[in-house]
Amino acid sequence: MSNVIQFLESMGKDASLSMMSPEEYAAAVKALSVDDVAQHALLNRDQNALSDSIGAYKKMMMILVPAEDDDGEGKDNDQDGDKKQEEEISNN
Amino acid sequence: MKKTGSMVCVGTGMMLGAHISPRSRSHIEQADVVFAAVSDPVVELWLQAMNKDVRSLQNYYCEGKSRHETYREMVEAMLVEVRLGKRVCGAFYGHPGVFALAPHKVIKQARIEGFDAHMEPGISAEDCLYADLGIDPGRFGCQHYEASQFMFYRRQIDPSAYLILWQVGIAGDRSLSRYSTGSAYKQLLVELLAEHYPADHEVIIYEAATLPISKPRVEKLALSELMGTELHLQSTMVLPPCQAMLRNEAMIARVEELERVLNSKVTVATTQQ
Repeated sequence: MSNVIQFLESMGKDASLSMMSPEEYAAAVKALSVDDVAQHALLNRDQNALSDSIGAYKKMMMILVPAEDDDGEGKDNDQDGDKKQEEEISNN
Repeated sequence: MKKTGSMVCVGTGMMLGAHISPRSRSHIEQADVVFAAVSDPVVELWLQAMNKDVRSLQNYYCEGKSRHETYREMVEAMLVEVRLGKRVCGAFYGHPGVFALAPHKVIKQARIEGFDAHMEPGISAEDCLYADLGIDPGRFGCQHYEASQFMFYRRQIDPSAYLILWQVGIAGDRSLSRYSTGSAYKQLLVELLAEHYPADHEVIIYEAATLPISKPRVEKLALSELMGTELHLQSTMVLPPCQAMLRNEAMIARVEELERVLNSKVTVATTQQ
């Protein structure tokens, strides 16, 4: 695990680290063994610059649900959609 | 007889390091292969440190490609490994079963094919929203809709409860292939909402923090200002109630009558003893 990820994980799970004052936070970042770009991104709390500095994807797609489920059979017409929903409701 | 492959979908929570459950983490660490669909690129690197075979599901997305196809490919990619007899873990940001299609589908299909499959819950964006905005969904009630679905179907809106619209940044996208929709789509959404809410009603645009160095986005604006507001894939719109709850006097009278009858029966029984 890289030092940056390790630092973020510690901040995420440790209440005292998550409540650091700006001065404590800056000191903690400066004490990390990371390159200048990552350190700068951390100090500025710049999420995009941090991603760039550690070689993460630039843009993430996070939409995991469609407005309508096609149930693997192409687009439903309204009647089919209604029927499927009725079946789902009666199965629950 | 159960087959040897297995499928588990776990939630990583919203914030790196802060929300993942011990059991979800151990599923990730112990799996033969992990498929990751998370909201932040740094979170994906974090998962890669937990297991030597973490495969991103990001590659299946493509602007201009229907997400129906994307979700089918995700499900199939996971099932291929299950059928090979592997312990497969799908790691999804937030809660794997909330506003997420592929986890439900892959579990259902794996079970149909005779494999062990289950879901472990996670801390969702909805959970973070309640904490960050100080909203208790039990106070006035709360309706949740996917924003496009809300536009495409006639829903019964209760303006005395909270209304929360998810994926509002792509509201109105029928193609399921866009990464954003423009102000004309937002205008339609505002017109639909204006049937129930005044134009100057204060709404909130919310985005949960995904790294412990970040803050959540909490932007308050008038409903009519939505067109000029920047929305992202992860943006959610919260509409607080604009009306007081109306008491159902007829039902209250029926409950009172029921209590009166029950109390009189208790009194009679006590007198006879």
